[in-house]
Amino acid sequence: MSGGIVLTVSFLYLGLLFAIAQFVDSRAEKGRPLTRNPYIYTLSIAVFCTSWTFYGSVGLAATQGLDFLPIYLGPTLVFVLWSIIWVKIVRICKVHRITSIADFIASRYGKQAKLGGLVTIIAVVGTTPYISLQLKSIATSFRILVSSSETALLHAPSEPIFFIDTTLIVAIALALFAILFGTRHIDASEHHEGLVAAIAFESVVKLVSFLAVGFFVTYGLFNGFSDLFSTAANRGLSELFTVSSDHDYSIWMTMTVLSMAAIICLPRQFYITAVENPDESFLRKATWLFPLYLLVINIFVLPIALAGRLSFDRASADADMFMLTVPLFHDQAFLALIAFVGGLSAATSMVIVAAIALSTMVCNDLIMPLLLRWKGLNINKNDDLTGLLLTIRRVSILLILILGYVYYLIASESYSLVTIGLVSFAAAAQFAPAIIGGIFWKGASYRGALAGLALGFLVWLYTLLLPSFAQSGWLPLSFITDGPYGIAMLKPYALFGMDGFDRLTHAMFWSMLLNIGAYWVVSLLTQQTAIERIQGTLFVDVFGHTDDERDSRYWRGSATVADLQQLVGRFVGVQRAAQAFSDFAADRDINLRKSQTADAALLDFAEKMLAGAIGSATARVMVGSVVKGEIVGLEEVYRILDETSQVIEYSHRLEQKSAELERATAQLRNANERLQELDSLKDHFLSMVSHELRTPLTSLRAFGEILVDNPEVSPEERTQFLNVIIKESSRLTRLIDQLLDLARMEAGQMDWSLDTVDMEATLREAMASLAGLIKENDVIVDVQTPDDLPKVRADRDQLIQVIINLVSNAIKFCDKSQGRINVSVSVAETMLEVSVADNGKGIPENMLTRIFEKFHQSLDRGEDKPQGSGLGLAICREIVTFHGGQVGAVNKPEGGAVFTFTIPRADSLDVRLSAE
Amino acid sequence: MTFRKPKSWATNIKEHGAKPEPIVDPQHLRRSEGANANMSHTVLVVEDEPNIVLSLQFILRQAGFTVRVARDGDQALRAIDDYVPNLVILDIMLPKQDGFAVCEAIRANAACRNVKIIMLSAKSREADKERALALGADEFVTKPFSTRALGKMVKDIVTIKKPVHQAK
Repeated sequence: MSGGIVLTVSFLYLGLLFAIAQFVDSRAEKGRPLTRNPYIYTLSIAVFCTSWTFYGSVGLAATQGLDFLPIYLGPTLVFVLWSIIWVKIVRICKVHRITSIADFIASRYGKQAKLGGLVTIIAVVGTTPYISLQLKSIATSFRILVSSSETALLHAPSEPIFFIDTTLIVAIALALFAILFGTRHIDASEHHEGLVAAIAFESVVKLVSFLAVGFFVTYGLFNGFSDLFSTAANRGLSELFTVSSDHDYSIWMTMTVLSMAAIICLPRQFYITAVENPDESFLRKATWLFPLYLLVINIFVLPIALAGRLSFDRASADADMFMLTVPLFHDQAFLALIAFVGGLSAATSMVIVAAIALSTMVCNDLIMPLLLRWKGLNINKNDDLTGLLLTIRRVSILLILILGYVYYLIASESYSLVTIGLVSFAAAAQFAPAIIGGIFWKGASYRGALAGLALGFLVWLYTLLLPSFAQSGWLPLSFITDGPYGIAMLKPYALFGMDGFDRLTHAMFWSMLLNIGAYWVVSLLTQQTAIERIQGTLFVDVFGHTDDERDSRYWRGSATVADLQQLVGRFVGVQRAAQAFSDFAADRDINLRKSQTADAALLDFAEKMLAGAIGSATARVMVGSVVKGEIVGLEEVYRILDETSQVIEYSHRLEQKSAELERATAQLRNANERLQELDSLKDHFLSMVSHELRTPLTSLRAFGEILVDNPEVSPEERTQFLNVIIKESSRLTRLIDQLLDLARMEAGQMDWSLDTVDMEATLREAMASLAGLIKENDVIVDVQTPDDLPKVRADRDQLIQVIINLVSNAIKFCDKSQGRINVSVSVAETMLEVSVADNGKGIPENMLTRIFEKFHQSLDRGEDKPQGSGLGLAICREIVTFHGGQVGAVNKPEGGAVFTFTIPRADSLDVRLSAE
Repeated sequence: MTFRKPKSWATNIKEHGAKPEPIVDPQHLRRSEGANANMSHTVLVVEDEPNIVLSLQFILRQAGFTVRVARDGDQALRAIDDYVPNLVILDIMLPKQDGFAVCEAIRANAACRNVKIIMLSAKSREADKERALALGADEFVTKPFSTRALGKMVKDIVTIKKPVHQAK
């Protein structure tokens, strides 16, 4: 096939890609983006499948059999089982407007330029072998297709076809293409719809082309899979497609883990999956669609590899190029051309995306920080930096590809495609601890990440990159065999004497040990700065802070009416803000346009409104930042919100405290009122005691003096006066006794002598004591008791006291000679009930509940009735209550009062229990 | 010389709003000396304790006063309506209306302008004494009292030249 045709096809293909990108971009600018669907998104993720997959997998399968699989197992595992990590990363990227993996890591660890720079360097150095892999595959495939001689099928000619090296031409061509593609406009945060569409298209092309070759091999050369595999088995190739026990599968583990890390950490994967993601929900479809793509593109790897082995019965054939050489061998030049285009698409997609991602990082995280630091350049005073930025990106794309070419010159000749790719994977995997730790562990610190990345990178350099130079002869081979300067402990493939593993596992072991170890230990040992803590929280708790991806934009921009309204709406509610703003406009009879710049009055209004919600100081900061056009980062907003919520929390606690205080005050007030009540009760009691003591004393003293001063009084008068003295003395004695009894009962110091008491006998005894009083007042007291009265448990003397008090009280309120008092006993379930009914004038209704209180005397008793102490009924209540009974008084409808008390029966359960 | 007025006298004065005639002629009082001279004066004892009434009756009669007795506040006011005494010995703790109420009623009655009031209390509270004097009582005596001192107080207060309560 002539080089002209191949070149023409190649450039036509690249031109088609460019046209697709342009078309999609123009559609997007008109607001009709074609890329906003999950299928195109998933196909763009398939940029994972490069010429490594297209050519290298077949090469690996042809020599190592199934070892090509783990590289697809890892991504499948991540997407199917651990898609949450992508959801989280995508959300963080959107919220924080992350533009690259370097931006992501730097931002997570406190926006440290040094870290971003280090990540960029690792990414560029780590990707270089990968790019050289693509260059090598394109160059090799081109040469094979063009020469297509018998020898060329086995050994690709290395002499240049043109005047200069084909690979260099490919590198420069790809660089130009990437520049055209990726640096047309500058805003890195906007999505590149055209790029994504082109990449998705390339994924279709490489899949279709691979399947075409696969079908040709399986159904053209053989009669299906079984025919192919049985033929291969007959030729002794069965070890390539069977899992045998004597194979070393430790590399499987390493490669699976490595590819899991790579699908997240490869700069281009990160870029296309997270940064270019148009919608979080697309991830849901990608979780099964992307693994499906991987499965489909791998179906024919083994058949093509086997066909190659069967076609070229010489082990020296370049198995990496079976995709081309097998069709060519069977005179299928057109199919070979299709395969070439497929390989071209696989390689170009990787190179373009990687170059764009890396150039963004080099520009934003490496060059710009340096330029900003270089004061002489006055770069921060320059208004328009777009030209500079574009130049930096374009130059860096070119440099990255040239770097790839240089690596190709140095190392590629001695390595297979897969080996080169794995070196890149191992470099990308160094980002994994910093990324995964960063989004799940708030405590991870900047210094930890820096130390881990630096050490991991150094180990990677030493154990994987430098040996590749040595094997290519750029370093003495003794570097590998004897160690540097003959130090065996430092042999790059057997560091510290560890030589049981394959090179990759060995490198991964040491680099990850030091990377994760340093990351963890240094994070624990170092103090996080405030911004690190904030960023850590924002990254780890990203789902808690944001409801959806759009939240992030609210805080940016200049002081337009819309911005202000949005700002206010965020705090006071969107509808309220809208209402308030339209009210504001209506009040002033003006028309507020959303894009209009807000005037001072509106700013003041917005600030006041915000102040109502979040306090004046915070409101000023918020509005002030918008006015000046400063970008208020989410973290600042959250910090302010945190402080505000702390203040709110604090004032809430103050409110609680003051409520508690109020409660305590109310309790105190109640207690005080109760005390005052008790105090006035005590006062009342003392004054009543005083009165009751002084009254008989008055008579005693008066008649004493009268008798002394008037010796001439008549004998009758003398007797009368002396009788008064005697009566008043005994009244005084009785009063003192009652007072002491009552005091003892109330204080619980009364000595009760409880016994089983016969109520009838008790009543008889009480009546005997009252006989004098009854006779004196000429009243009739009728006592009626049923037969077989149960015994009660009581203090007999006190029981008598109760009866005496009640009956004498009754007598006191009966008219002399007219009084009739009925004392009766009835039996209740657990009690005996004793009633004392009189035919006196009864008790005023409002007094019924109070007559048992101390000193509650009726001052309306009949004339010439013996003065009570006012303590009799109070004592009755104390005694009865002590025994577990109750006292009460009612008026009879026909006149007179009934006093009743109950006393527990000796045979009742309660009494027996309390007696035990 | 006895001074008696018709039953309806006090009522008439009240109804016509006329200036009350002096109940006691000061000239006469100045001339009166000794126990017998007091026979022209009436003391209303308002007390619900029979034995205290008994002792007061004995002392006052011996001193030559005419003694009338009321057992409660209502009785006391009825007695005053019926006949204006020269002196009221008024207990505070009384059935129906207490001593303070009675004192207030007496002071409100124009016919009783010159009636002297001695209040008796068994409570011995300073607040009660202040209240009694504020309501127009002339003296406040705490039970138990000395019959000798009370007798002298009664004589002094009844035979004093100018009405004590108007000075207060």
